[in-house]
Amino acid sequence: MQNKYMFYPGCLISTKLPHFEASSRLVFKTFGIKLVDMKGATCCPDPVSIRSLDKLSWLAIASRNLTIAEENKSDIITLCSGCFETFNTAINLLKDGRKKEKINRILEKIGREYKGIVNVFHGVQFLYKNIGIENIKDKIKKELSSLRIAPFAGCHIIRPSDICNFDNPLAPIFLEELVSATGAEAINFQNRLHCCGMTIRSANEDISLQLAENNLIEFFDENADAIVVVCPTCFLQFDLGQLLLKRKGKEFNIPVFYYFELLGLAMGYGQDELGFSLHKVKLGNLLEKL
Amino acid sequence: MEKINELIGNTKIYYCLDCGKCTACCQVARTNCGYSPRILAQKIILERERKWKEVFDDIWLCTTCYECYEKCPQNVHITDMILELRNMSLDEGLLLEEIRNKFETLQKEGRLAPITKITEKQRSKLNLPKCPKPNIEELEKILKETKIKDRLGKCYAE
Repeated sequence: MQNKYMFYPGCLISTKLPHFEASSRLVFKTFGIKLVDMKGATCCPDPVSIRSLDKLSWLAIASRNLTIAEENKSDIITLCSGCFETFNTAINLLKDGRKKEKINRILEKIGREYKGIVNVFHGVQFLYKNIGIENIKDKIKKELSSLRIAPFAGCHIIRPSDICNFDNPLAPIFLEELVSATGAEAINFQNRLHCCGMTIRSANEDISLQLAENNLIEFFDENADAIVVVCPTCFLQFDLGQLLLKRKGKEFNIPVFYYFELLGLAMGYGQDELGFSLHKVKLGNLLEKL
Repeated sequence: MEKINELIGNTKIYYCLDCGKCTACCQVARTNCGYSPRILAQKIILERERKWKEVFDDIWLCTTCYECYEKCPQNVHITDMILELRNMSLDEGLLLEEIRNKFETLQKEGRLAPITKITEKQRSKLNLPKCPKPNIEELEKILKETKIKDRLGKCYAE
């Protein structure tokens, strides 16, 4: 492990879900990981909407962000699966000399050069691979043993597998193990979980919510006390999405957590520090169980 | 026409066996809305001489979950094919409006979720440092080089 990492929470988390950033900073501090903000960084950019607009612009903006980390000679830790996908896809594409040259001709105009010397980790991947389950267990102060949790890994932290190189792309176990490390019971959903559906919300809200509902039904049938996600997009789909589904007469009432929030709680951090009041699906019953 | 040939070459669409594994695992297809990655690929291969522009109606329901790509026995880059088609739709004036709106925000703020006063307040309550400001001038210069604004201007003159 390096002595410092560039920290890239991503647009959504840093503005709309700052409590995720708060819990992750607390957790990384506990493990002695130093985080440095990326000065001047822009949107990663979004691997769905901006990538759908124009591949070249998307790749050039992503490369520019990577050069900020390269200047600091540090790897990046990001909190968002979307940003993780963008950066690692860019790194992969730029292994091709011709693409790299084309991008560098653009970056030259702003006095930058992409060299291909940094790696990008997802915060949760970092916890699992670089810190490890045993070290995580050592820091647990309050076991969440009364909780039954649905681990939802989502898509872009594991797929496409040749970019992410992390766990099984169709039946991942990392999140189950990370949830178990907190003392909570992780429900096994091998092969039953699929995309949250958030990315097509504006194209077709009904279908998008159908995808969310398909997963929520699985969680509900398994009596989950809460859902744990690793991506802000998945979070919004399940948190806000449950409110939208309620208006259609479909009620689930299952609170959603970002993994670092859960881990922060298990490490003994307080609810205010972790920003629990900012959740839409209220945590009332769950907190009583604890 | 070259663009279609390039697309087929880059994403290996000709390797498609028409087996349907992609559609079988596609969560959107499962909602029975008629969306099918297999049919998209077939439209491109078979109709490319004539009706390929029809695909521009079908490509917006892909969530980019990449399950089809993982399952495809021929390693066809299905999701990437859809993303490339979306790029091509811009020059046909068929790009989804939401995407144009997001691009406007990106250009203006450097981020898709802008920093607001409420954000700053919430962040300081959580003892978080201020968000680093995006460098919009550098972003502008990049977008000038990629000529994306010219292409948008051609098709979507306000």
